[in-house]
Amino acid sequence: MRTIAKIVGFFAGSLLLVSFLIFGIIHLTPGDIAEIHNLSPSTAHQLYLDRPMIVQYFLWFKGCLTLDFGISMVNGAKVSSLIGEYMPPTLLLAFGSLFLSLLVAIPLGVYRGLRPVSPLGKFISLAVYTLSSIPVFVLGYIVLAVVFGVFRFYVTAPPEGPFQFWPYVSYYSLPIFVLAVGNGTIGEFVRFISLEVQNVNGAMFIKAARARGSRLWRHFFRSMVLPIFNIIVTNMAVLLGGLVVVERIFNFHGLGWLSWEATLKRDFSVIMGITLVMAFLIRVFMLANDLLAVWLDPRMRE
Amino acid sequence: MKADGTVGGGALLSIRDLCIWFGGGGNYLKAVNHASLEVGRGEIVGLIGQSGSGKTTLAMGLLGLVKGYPGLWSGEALLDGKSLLPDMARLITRKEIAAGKGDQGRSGETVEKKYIPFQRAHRRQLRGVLGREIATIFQEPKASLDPFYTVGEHMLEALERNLDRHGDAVKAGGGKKALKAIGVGLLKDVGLVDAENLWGLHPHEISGGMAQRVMISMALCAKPKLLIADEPSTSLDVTTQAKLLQLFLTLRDKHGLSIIIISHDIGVIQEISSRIYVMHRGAVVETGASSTVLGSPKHPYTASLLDSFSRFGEKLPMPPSNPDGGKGCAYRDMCAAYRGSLTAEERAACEDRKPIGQADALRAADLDRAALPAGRQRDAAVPGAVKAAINWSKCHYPGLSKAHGPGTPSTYNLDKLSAEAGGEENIVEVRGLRKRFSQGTRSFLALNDISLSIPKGKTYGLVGESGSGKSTLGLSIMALQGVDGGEILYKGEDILKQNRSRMLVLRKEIRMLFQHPEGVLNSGMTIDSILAEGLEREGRVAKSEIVRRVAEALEQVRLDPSHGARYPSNLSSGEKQRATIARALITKPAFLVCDEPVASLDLAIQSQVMSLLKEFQRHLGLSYLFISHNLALVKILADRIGVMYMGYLVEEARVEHFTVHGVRHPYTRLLLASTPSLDPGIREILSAYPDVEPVRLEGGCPFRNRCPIYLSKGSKVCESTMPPLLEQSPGARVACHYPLN
Amino acid sequence: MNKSPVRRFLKQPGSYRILAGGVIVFLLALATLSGSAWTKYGPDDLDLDNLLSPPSVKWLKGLLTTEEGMRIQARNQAGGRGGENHARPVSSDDEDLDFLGVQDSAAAGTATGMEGSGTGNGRVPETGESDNRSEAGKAKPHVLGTDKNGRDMLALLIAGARNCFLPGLVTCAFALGLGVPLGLFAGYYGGRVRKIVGTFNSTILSLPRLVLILVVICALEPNVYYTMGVLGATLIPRVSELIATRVRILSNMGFILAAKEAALSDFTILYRHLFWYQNRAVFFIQFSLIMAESILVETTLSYLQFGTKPPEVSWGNIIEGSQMSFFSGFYWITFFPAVAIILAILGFFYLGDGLNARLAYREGR
Repeated sequence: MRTIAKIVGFFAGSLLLVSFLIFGIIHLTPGDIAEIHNLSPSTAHQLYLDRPMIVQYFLWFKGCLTLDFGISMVNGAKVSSLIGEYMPPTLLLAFGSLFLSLLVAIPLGVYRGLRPVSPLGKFISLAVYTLSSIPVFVLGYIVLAVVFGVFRFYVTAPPEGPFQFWPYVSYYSLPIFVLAVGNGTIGEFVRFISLEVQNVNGAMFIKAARARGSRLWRHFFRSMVLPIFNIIVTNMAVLLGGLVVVERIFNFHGLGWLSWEATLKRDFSVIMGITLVMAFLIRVFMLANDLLAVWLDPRMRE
Repeated sequence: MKADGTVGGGALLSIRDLCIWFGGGGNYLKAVNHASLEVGRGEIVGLIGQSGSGKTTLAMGLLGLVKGYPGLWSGEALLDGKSLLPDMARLITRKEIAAGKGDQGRSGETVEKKYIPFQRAHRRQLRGVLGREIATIFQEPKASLDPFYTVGEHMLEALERNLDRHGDAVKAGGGKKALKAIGVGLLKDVGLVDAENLWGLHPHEISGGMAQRVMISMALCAKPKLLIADEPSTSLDVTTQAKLLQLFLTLRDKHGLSIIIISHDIGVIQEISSRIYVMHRGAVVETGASSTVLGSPKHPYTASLLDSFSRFGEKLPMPPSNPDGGKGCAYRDMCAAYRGSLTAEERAACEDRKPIGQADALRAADLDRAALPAGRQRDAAVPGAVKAAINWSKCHYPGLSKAHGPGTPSTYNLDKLSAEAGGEENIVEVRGLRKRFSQGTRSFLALNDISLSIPKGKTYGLVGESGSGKSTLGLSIMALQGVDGGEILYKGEDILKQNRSRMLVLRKEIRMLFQHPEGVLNSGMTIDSILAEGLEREGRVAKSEIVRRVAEALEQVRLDPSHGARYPSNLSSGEKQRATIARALITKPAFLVCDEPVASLDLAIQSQVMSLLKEFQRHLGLSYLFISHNLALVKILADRIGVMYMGYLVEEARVEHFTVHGVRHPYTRLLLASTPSLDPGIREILSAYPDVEPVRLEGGCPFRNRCPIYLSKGSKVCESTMPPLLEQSPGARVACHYPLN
Repeated sequence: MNKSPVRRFLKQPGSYRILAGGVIVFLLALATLSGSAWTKYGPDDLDLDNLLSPPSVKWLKGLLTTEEGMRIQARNQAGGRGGENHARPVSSDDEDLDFLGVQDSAAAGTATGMEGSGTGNGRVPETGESDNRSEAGKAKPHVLGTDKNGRDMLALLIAGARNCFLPGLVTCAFALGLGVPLGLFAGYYGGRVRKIVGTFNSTILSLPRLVLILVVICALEPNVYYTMGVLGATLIPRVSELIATRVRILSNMGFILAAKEAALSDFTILYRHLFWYQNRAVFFIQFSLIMAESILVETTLSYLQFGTKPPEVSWGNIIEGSQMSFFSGFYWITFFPAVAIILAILGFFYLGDGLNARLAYREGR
């Protein structure tokens, strides 16, 4: 119980730290924020810009707790409604690509971990390295060139109305693929999983289990669950960062695209809101990871 | 009688001419070299040799459990007439003549297997054998259990695989409950009295000794025919080891189990095995009944092994650093006879030919049971046990090198410095030292009011099991760890109260030897630069002076000056430990804390290091605090010995005091009795002690849960007060309410 | 066995990766140092007669052009020669091109020209000079073709190498310069120091790297070197965790205790024992891997228009600028920088990975 309380406490504390960091960086900006955007005094007041810095922070953070991130400095829209509108497709994209990565990486990683010196294992390493060194946007171009060149067809408009299979698949499939492969996610997963499999395979208890003739996959499975979840969590940040590029290439309207646009227009309240939401998402995953570790690993319970 | 040393029909496991090579692509390393081995039913066979002798590779390779799967095989291995190796003829892709690899023209059919097909075939062959006919336990019992599974889940898994062997019991109850009952029964069988509680615990919550018993009871789930124990007690405390060895004997008698016990420790092998195979460089060099082999070894290697076991601290020839096998006898570089008494013509044989097994025919009558100590008749009651054993050794001139004494570490002919205590001056005095460790909410005293004094030019031995606080004491004296009270006087000044600059001076005079040289020698630095570093703090020292003193230190520890330019990874473990001694000696210290300096070394190398330490004491007048878990080892070097248990000093006396019948504290007696030996009287003493795990008890005497006196008397005073350390007999301080005799 | 040193080098694991990576990194460093001094065209020379001309190497031309692209290019050439306005080579009535957005990119080109006019637009040649140049241009073919402003691709690539390599060094300076000491302190002192470093690391790790960089860009609008410094800061956790873990393993081996026993000062232990003799290799491995990472991020940022800004050339902003020509079939403009980016990253990756394999082999893992 103490352990769990500690983990949750750390979660809250780190969120506070992160929010402070974001706020601090944004307010390092030289010059008056209200002047940069020619804000009317009423808007500036609405964004607490007329208060002292520290009060501003607490008012902003208090607002964030109630999902009120302020209003956009460019067009006055509510940031929370912007995020609410752009988030669902982004989540679908992110988790779709996560799922695809795991689907590909687990078999490859396990194989490479079990047979690191076999020709196929070596080929996997090589392929993984080469793939991780292609930046997302370059891969995006390659994919687009292939799709345009071969099919001369690509759906760019987001599907509207009720769910239909093909429009959704064609709209999401390319970004998901590019994000999974080009962002190094698959490569990172394969490398990590194979290393972990190699470790477990060399562990004494696997040798003992082999000597007993027991079914090894059970022991492998229990030992692999935590590391795999762990690598997913540590890769969440990379995944969400990659969204910015993928959404820009495919003109995909999601949080990444929104943050790109907000940066171009220096829309401070929007970028602060998005960053905080992303940090929260990552933190939640980290929290889940820690709790899972306590639940699954008896050594962590003390 | 066959010359190759077979024991005839009825053998459970017979290995003939087994060779195992590692590597691939024409680049091979022979790890096992024409080894033949037989195990009878209900027999305990010992496999002994130094590390790297191929004893583990032989057993584990056979079971397909070695890392870096072997690339080349020859020979055969039969368990109950059924082969353990895949049919090599069917897998042959290329025949290789072993002769080309430095063999004596004994060409065999070998298989160079494309790695995976052979491995697969081998695994298939072993599928019904591993964990069914042959069970295995390993050196690191805690690591051998899956950290995510409870003891109970482990047992259930093993039982479920072997349901057919518990048929009647399952019919009676059925389901998990019945299995649990069987499992608990098996755990109790191996001496885990508290099996019900143990059932739900995870491996990290139990001790190493318990984990090893769990491993054994999992092995018993299958009712196997053969148990292979690979260094089963090496990582355990000596008292736990004694109980474990007893368990092996019980298992053999009760379940008719055959056991192969692999160890580098002659004491362990000698205590329980009836026959012995001695391995050296992948070959079996000598075999026979254990009393014969260890009583009058024929092979010089066996003789030297025994020597290093029984005569710790004697000056032994240092083996050449780069031994070369060649075509002759692989051992000749280290062979005392070859280097000494043999004539040139006789030596030619050693250089030209590999020795073949020379039988020393031993009649069954020679294995007279009467010759064995009463109560230790090994092959007595078990039907089908191997009655006749054949002694042979692979040596051209067997029996030339005699071991110096019987294989018990009871003969110490170390000439200690004059024992007279007249006006002896103490170099270090420890007074009322306390140290508290806390883990989360729990905290305990790792050092509880420790007071002791170390006389100048003498050795103070500190003995205790793991967790007794002996290393903590060593680190505190080195001021490498803060303490919570007490004082440590070095030549009258309190180490704990010195300022930085004085400490720098003191650090030159007080040095330390550690257990693992790997942690001491920076792998990125040459030995020379590591040694020179010690002189850095002496201010400006001329370059020529540094070179001179480094060379001097290397010479003191008998390292070749050329070793100075090497990196630690290019030294053998013994050389590394000698380098760490040189590193300490270079600052010309007066006092050395030796924290288990030989625990990680092979027996022969242990005695080299010990003899070096003794020599320095004699010539340089060094004083030592010698910390070890091995009382027998400490007795060799020490003048005074202190025994620690759970942070308390429980007994302290001169070395002569420490005999099984002389000591006054029950724990010390337990320690002494646990040292492997053949004396039946000691067995009796040992059996008075309960088979329980050491735990930290709150209040009262910490030893009472394992103390036969408390258990028989049930005295209240043991529960309420810790006995003070009082002088019970002249020169002996004991902390016990009811000291022995 | 008498083996030459080369043979022995090749026998160790990772040697081929080190070799391949080393060659690429060497070429990159060479391009950074030499600049485009030795090429026929400079990166700022606008060959207005050869806008969007395909690579002069035959097989590359065949590979990287489409018929449609060639048709447009031919028209382009004609327009460029006839028109007065060099910066706007495409007549606006061309519907086809409008659809493909070339007009858009041409407008961007104009903007570029205007932006740069204050500093050094002297290099945009006057008409007479341009004629000289173009005559010379006929003699000197564009090996890798030109972009929509008539800049030589080869010169652009070489100029772009500098903007990959130098910001990368800034990243490394930050990541290693701060990460290594933090890791050493955390591992050596343990306890509270480790906790502080751990909290710092976990705060940084809970923000997506690219998004954090966007936040900084949004607030400060810094130039690319500062941005890469921020990237370096986000890489501190990785370096310091790695070093701290290794130091902790060493300290479990009794390493630190033994060094203290020898009365060495903290600085000697930290610098000589823990860093130089134990973690030097890790430093170089991380250097290559971080260089790869920073090239990846720098090109990405330039592509997103936040990194190297247009008058300066970066492989990322070449691709960004060529976006529309790409869809009209002028593949080479995108292709060469893409290949350059992939090769550069791959080179550093291979170098780091090969060194890593060698280290693992040495340490007997």
